[in-house]
Amino acid sequence: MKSSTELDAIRDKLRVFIGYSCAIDEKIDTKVLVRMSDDCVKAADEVIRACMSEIEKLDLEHVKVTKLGSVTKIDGEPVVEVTVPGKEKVVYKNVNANSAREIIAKLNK
Amino acid sequence: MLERAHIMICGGTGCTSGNSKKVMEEFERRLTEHGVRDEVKLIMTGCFGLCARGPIVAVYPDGAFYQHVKVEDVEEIVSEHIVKGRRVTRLLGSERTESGEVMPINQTPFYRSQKRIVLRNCGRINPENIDEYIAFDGYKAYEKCVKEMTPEQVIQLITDSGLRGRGGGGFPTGKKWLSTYNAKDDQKYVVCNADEGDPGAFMDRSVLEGDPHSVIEAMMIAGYAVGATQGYVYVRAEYPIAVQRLQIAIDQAREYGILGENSMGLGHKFDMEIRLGAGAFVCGEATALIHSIEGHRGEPTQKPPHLAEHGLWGKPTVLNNVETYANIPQIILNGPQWFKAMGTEKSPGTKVFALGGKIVNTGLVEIPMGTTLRTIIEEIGGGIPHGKKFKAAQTGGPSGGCIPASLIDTPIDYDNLIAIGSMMGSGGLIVMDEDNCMVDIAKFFLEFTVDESCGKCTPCRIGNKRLYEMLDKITQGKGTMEDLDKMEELCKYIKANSLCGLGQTAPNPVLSTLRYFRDEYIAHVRDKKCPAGVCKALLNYVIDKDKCIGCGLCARKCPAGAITKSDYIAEGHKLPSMQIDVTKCLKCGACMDSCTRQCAISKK
Repeated sequence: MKSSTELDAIRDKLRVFIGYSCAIDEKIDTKVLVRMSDDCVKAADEVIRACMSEIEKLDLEHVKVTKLGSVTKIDGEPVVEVTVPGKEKVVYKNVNANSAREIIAKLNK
Repeated sequence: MLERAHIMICGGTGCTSGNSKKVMEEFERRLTEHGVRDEVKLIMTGCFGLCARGPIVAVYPDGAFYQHVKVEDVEEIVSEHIVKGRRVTRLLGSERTESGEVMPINQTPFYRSQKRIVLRNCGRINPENIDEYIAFDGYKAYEKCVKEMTPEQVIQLITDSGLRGRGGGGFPTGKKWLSTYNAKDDQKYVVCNADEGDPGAFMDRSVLEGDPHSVIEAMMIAGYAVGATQGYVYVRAEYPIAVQRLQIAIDQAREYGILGENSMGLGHKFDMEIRLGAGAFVCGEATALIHSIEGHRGEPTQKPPHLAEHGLWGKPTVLNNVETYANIPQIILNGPQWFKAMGTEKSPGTKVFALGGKIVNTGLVEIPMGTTLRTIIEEIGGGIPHGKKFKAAQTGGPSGGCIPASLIDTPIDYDNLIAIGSMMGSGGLIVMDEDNCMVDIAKFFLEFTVDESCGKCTPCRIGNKRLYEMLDKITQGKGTMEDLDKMEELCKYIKANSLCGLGQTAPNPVLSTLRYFRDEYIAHVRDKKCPAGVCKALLNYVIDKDKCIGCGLCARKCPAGAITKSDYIAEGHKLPSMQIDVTKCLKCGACMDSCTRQCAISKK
């Protein structure tokens, strides 16, 4: 039998999941956009994986990572654009897995 | 690892019949092929509401809302969107913002006027996974009730919220619960009415398919409030997906110890079972439903005694509709004031409508009460297809009535609908355009009630049959003006003398069409014409001799061989025109569809 505290534990565990599935009633969240052209998909995937593992580690339910592809080459790809609500957009170029982790860690409130 | 994308595929009945299960399998296969399966969560979810554009696939967190997704499109979505990060714009619907970008789905006309409370989890969670329901504050309302409130307080809260029964009658839910609470007995029951019988209504089905746990939780709350320990959901066997998902939900809730002897360790006992109905319309009526659960014939009995005192197996019973239950956990969590702030003063909250008929966006919409019919049809529904003119809307199915175009600005709530001769019903909304004959519509609904009448009381069994015969006579062109008055008189008699709601409301479609579209009845009776061109007996297909080029295509299509060459050659034409032998004509319309010169054949 699950007690009410165990149900709370489930809620806690799935908090990030909630953040990911509410486009119909969109919340204002921190958006992390990973941009690349087709040549750079592999490197961008590395960056995204690093972001996701960091998000999971730090339990950041307000951060959403999206991939945005481009047909033409982008200067300094993979590029990471971070938009925190109410603040100006920050753009990072030539990001790798390590720097991606740093970027996400900075978003920890 | 944490998934970077969620793909939600609609698993409602509409999209399932549009092959969404195959789409799901294809996603599974393609994602594995591209080696990204463990980075993406694949979920079969409940109805998104936009059934007209199904099967629907939503990708989060991007919020891409793919429509009309076929199995062949899956590879493109996976390789372009998931791998390369480029949305497949051709599948994203036609709505664009001013700057020409794809409009976010919550800003499209279909979604922006909606307020999803009952349908909040449809399209958001996997209904077959209890954890996801729990994650969205599931079973929190029940916990709050048992831990912090007395049964009296729960009932008071529901009364304060002003929630009214969503099954159609609009009886205050709090009042219903209170009288069951006040009845003293050793055993009480909580029953959920999921026997949705109205043609064209499918909101209860969608709630059970998309969010079954919300109904379970609400029934547990009702059980705590009125002092019942056993619940039944009466659902029709014609809803296989809903039954299956509800059963999975009940099993999971039992496994988690949420249903059972000591739910969640809070000391309250509640368990529930599904009872399948065979799909008789009359079993949606409270007393007939109870008899059917007991294993007897689904026939209504006289009220009083009300179910609150003498219900299932003679014990006090609280019976509510699926949609009513689905509102309850949210009311408990957010408070009665939050609920009252939506809708109108006498009908707070929202209502789910199943939009059907001649409308662009067929589907499921949830709107605050008091929204006008115009908003529903023109904005959310996207208007009438092919630029036709709106003629009437039928609410409440066979128990309701038609709302004519002149009343399109009526705010929809229980009392307004009754005042204009219709009713809320369970929320089916069938839109009709100029090609629908109102006499034929009334006949269609009456035929349904004649079929579905249980035959127990005379006014309903014989009265409706006679009424149907008179309508049939009119559509055959054999009606007289006295028939119209006789029909009206008979309608009033049936309404006043029938035993249950089925008979009492059965003449409504006839009465409301007689009230608003009397001129159409008169055209059938006096002029022997059907203005909309639907009633076959009053219809003749005519070939315009001067326009016909004599190609003979219609003659080849005619199943009765009624079309032959005439001996008339129109000026400037080389071949003789065709002619129709009215004695042989079946009035199927095949000739009109086949005509290369659309104007040559017409209905008269």
